[in-house]
Amino acid sequence: MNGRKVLLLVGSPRGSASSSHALGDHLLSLLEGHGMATKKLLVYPALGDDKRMTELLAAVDACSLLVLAFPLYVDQLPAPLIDTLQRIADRRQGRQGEMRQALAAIVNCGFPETLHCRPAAGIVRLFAAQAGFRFLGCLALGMGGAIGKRPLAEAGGVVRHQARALKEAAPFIAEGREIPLAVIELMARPMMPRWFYTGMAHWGWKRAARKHGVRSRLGERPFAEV
Amino acid sequence: MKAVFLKGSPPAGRDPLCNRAAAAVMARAHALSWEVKAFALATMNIKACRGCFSCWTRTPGRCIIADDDQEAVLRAWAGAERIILLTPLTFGGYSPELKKALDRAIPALLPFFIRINGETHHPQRYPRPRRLLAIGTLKGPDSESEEVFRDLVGRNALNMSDGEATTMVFSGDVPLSEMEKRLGTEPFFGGTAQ
Ligand SMILES: Cc1cc2nc3c(=O)[nH]c(=O)nc-3n(C[C@H](O)[C@H](O)[C@H](O)COP(=O)(O)O)c2cc1C
Repeated sequence: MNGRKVLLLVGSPRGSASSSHALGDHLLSLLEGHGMATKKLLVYPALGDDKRMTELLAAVDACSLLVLAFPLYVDQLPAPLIDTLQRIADRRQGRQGEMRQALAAIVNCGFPETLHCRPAAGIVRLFAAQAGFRFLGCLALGMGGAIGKRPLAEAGGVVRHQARALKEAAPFIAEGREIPLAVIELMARPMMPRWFYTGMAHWGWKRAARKHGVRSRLGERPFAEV
Repeated sequence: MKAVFLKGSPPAGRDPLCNRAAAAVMARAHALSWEVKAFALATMNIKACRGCFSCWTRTPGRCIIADDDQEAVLRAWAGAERIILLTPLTFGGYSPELKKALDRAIPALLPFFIRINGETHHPQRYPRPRRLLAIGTLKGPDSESEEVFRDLVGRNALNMSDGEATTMVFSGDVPLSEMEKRLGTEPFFGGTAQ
């Protein structure tokens, strides 16, 4: 152990059954290989639970590296994660210039194109600056739905670019150095052809709707004015 | 003109600038005889989205969380031709108060994919010419936050309106009269400013 501690905050409501978790957890195991002690917390259960939130804030204070893993929601971070980041920043008022701790992020989105994640990456960068974290970079990827809840190591060849990107990013993150652009670009590479991803998603929605007996009602407009 | 106005100010008037901007928006909309459904989100019970997609594949168009205040927002959204968002800039993005309601607005979209400007998006469940205005407030000038905000609003417009976005940022102690004047020149409110 090199005495450095990494804290992963998982910002998906799906918790440990999320793509965010699969990606973040994979990075954690790689960082462990680089001698870091690891800890993982879910953001959602901490909101509305004072004890858990206190524990979360204390864990943030105690880490040398904070990793945020979250899904893109409406072009940016999910509400509970923004709420949590605001609490962290409020607590660290006046520490802007310190930069003793580092921050890296992983954002996955459901659309095939990674570019949808651009505002989220900007928000995370500004959070780092305002809360006094040294920003190491944001690894963004599209087609997040293709990962699902399985561990990344079990997702096979479909995530080959992402698995390689995380492996290449790990030594930089472990040493507190910025993630190189080439690694960020590798992470952003599509997992499969766009037509295949969208075709699979359409099929998945129809199948789920059939299961719930609403296959013919997917386009319903319950709040349309008559 | 029907408008939905989502006020993402923090609780208990902690952001006077936001409250002033809200008053300016209401004055402008009133002058144009718009029908505005305004929501003070911090005072409402809106739970966090669970990310379950039930609103697409189980209860089409409705959120599975039925014991809170979000349905009123969805009803107003369905009929609106103008969407107005108001928020204190939070790391260049939206406040948690505003974002909670927006995360729960995806029932207003359909699950299927369409292409807009070469990118993938979802079709509207309630299609109509819909324009988006987002107003952000800042304690003082902060060009980096503004840049992220404009980028975010531009992307939101592709996902929740007909693609046209108007972004305004009020920073510092802007008086109400000045806000009203600036809103009045915006094409969104029938003005002629570029
Ligand atoms: C409320 C909500 C909003 C979403 N907004 C977007 C979006 O703006 N762009 C996008 O590409 N995907 C969007 N998605 C899709 C998620 O980013 C995608 O399903 C992701 O893979 C979920 O990751 P997770 O398993 O870590 O939660 C949204 C999903 C939900 C539930």
